[in-house]
Amino acid sequence: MKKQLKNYIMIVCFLLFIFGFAVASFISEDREFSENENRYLQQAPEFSWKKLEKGEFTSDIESYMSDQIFMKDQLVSLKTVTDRTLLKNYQNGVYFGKDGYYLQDYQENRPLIEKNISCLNDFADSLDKSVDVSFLLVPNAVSVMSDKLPAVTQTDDQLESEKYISSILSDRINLCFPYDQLKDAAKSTQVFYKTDHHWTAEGAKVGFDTLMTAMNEDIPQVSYNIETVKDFHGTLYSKAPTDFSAADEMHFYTNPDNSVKVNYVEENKQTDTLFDDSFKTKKDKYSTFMGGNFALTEIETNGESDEHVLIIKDSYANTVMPYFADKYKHITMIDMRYYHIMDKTVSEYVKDNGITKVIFLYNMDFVNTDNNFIWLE
Amino acid sequence: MLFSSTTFLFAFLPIVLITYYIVPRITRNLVLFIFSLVFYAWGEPVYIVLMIASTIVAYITGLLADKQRKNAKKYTPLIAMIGAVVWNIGLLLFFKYTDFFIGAANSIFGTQIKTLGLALPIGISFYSFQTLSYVIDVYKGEVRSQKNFLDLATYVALFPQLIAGPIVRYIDVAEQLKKRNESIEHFAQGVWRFSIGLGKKVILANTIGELFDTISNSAQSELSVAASWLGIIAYTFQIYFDFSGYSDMAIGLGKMFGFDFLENFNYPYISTSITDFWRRWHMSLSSWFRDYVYIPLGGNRKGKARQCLNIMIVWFLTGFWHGANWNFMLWGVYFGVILLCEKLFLGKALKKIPAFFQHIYALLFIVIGWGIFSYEDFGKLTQNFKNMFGAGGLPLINHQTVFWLAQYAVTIVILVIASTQLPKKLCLKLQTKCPEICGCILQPLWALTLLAVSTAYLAGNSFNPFLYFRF
Repeated sequence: MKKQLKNYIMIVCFLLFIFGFAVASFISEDREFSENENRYLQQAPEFSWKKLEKGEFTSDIESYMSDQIFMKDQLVSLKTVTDRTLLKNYQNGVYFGKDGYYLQDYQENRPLIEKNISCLNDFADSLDKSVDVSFLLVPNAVSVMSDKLPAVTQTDDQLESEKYISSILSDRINLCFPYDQLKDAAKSTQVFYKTDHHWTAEGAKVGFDTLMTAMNEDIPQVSYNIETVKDFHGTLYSKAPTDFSAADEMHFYTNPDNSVKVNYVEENKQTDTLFDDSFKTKKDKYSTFMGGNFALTEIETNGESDEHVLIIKDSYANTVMPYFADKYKHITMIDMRYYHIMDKTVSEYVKDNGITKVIFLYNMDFVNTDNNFIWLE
Repeated sequence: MLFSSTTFLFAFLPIVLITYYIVPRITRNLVLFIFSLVFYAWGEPVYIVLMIASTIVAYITGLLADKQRKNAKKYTPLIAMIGAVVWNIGLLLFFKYTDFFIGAANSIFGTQIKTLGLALPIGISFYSFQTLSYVIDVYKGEVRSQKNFLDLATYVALFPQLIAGPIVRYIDVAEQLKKRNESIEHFAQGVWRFSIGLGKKVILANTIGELFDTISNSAQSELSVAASWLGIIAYTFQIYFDFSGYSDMAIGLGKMFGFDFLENFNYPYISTSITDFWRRWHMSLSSWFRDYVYIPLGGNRKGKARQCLNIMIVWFLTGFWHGANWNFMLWGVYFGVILLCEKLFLGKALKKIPAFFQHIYALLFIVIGWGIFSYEDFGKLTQNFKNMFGAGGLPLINHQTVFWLAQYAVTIVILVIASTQLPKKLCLKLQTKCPEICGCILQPLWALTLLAVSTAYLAGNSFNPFLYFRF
């Protein structure tokens, strides 16, 4: 018996492990959706001879087994931790930076940038001369917070991309690139989330102020109420989940003296806030800003200026909306990812609504990767 | 089904183990056979018919090839043996090589024959060699034919070694099919071996495989001379840890069911020559070719010239066995030529230089060999070699290469250490110094760690290719 003790221990460990996982995965309730991975998980497949013959049944079982395995999220974290122990500080396109910053890699795709910028150029050139066109191009964390990056990276320089964009951009468009301002602000405040690819409300304010200055506009002086929401684990965290980074804290700025009416046109939904509080308790907390992205959103406020501005944008704009709302009484947001084949083209919309200012608001990575600029006409 | 999948680890294996150990001993082969069929049918339900047909052919030809059988006619055994050869080689030629020959004919003669587009039946290269060795061994009188069909069918379908070897010969397990020793000690050894194999495959091979994939899919403009070497070195590690990890798992699983399979790898990357390498790499394959091709061809008994020819034939076939493609043929011939050189003159010269340089020599030619092996596309293959030897117009090293090196530096150090006997020696030392702590705590803990981290990699990673699937 004593001689066999080590063998018994080895066997018991093994059997506990495989049977433990088998039983626990079997009895633990199947999840429908993984917030962490942001996708629907495979459910127990129903058997049919037809599915078996096509090999679908067995492959469904395989995905079911790996999707619904006991402690899936913890296992995924264990993998990330192991990789980090092997000093791999780059995973799924994300760097593990200093001070708990996840930083998304940037690989310049110059042909696509050229294509996208020429869409913006064509659109701007086609507008009436009286319409003012500006472009707030936001550098990403990987560029602004480059001092947080690991020593050796493969990331491309966004300043080079900006130089290129500025060299091909139409004279009609007033380019604003708040790189220095964000970098400066980053010394005292957090301008990007540590676990998400977006900028924070503070970063957005820096961007907004820089844009206003570039447009020769006054910056409204407002004292905001600040609401804090904790425990934000953003998209970059999901790509390489580990306890490496503390959760982010989010701030929501509201102006008590401003009342807004928001009309989500396609959804036929009206609200009186720039925030969708229901997201504050979910994983996707960033969608609290404007409730996410929509094709066409019309906002009425009692801001300073009577002008009607059109913001053609990505998700970075959602955080800036509270500041825009204090500036302009009439704001329209259009997201080209969803604004396809609508009643009016964007230029028709500009004409019919007497829009005097058009603002493109995109982050660099978006201009470098998105394929929906062609819908802009 | 793959061993390195959550389905195998947490559904198939527990069910097989329970069923196997609760049924009466006499029905255990039946249990193994049925579960092996499920295991095989998992990926390809149709080709199971082929495997069973192959088993039936082996059964009948095996009986007929047995000369010690009563009333055996004079020529029947020979005919039966030839029949088995024709069947198995025919099967391989048809399913594995037809499209290759059609493609070759089309490109040489400009014909337009349509390819069959058949999917390669999983494990066919392995089980046809196994049944073939069975019938030949019976014919040669080295083992008696198997009269119990179930025992033979269990041998052919045995899931631990079914899809990727090692090529277990019937003669080595004939006794065990009837009576084997399922013991606590055996099972514990099996657990240890399986955990190590799983870790080698899932943690090491898959990780370094990502690097090879990244580099081989990179645009020429991102590469450098160093990067193309790094890529091929990554592949060198990937294929060894992938394949030997799979063999470890097979041997470990075999032990859990009371089988002892022969070893398939013996630290191939510490070889001092290519001759040495092929005594250490995929040993079950090279000994198969030695016993069933090289020696029947005359081996070294018919003069030097004939021996050289035999060596070239064997290595051409070894290469071609790995896949129906030109690069595999080239790979075989490449090693054939090196082995010839070593046999004729190089071997003696090598012995005179310091051991360090012998290792460098062997590794260099092994790595270059994998360079041939890893690219089935000839254009890519030649481009890669141009890049490696500075004819690709690439910089010696670039920023991107430094990044890759930095990311995988620790992994590569671990791979280097794990390729040597160092871990084994360390383990033995611990076992003699403090047997209780090592056996009761350290080893189980290490096995559990490997299992847990492997599971984490399987759950967190969709990258789980298996290189030897197509062979």
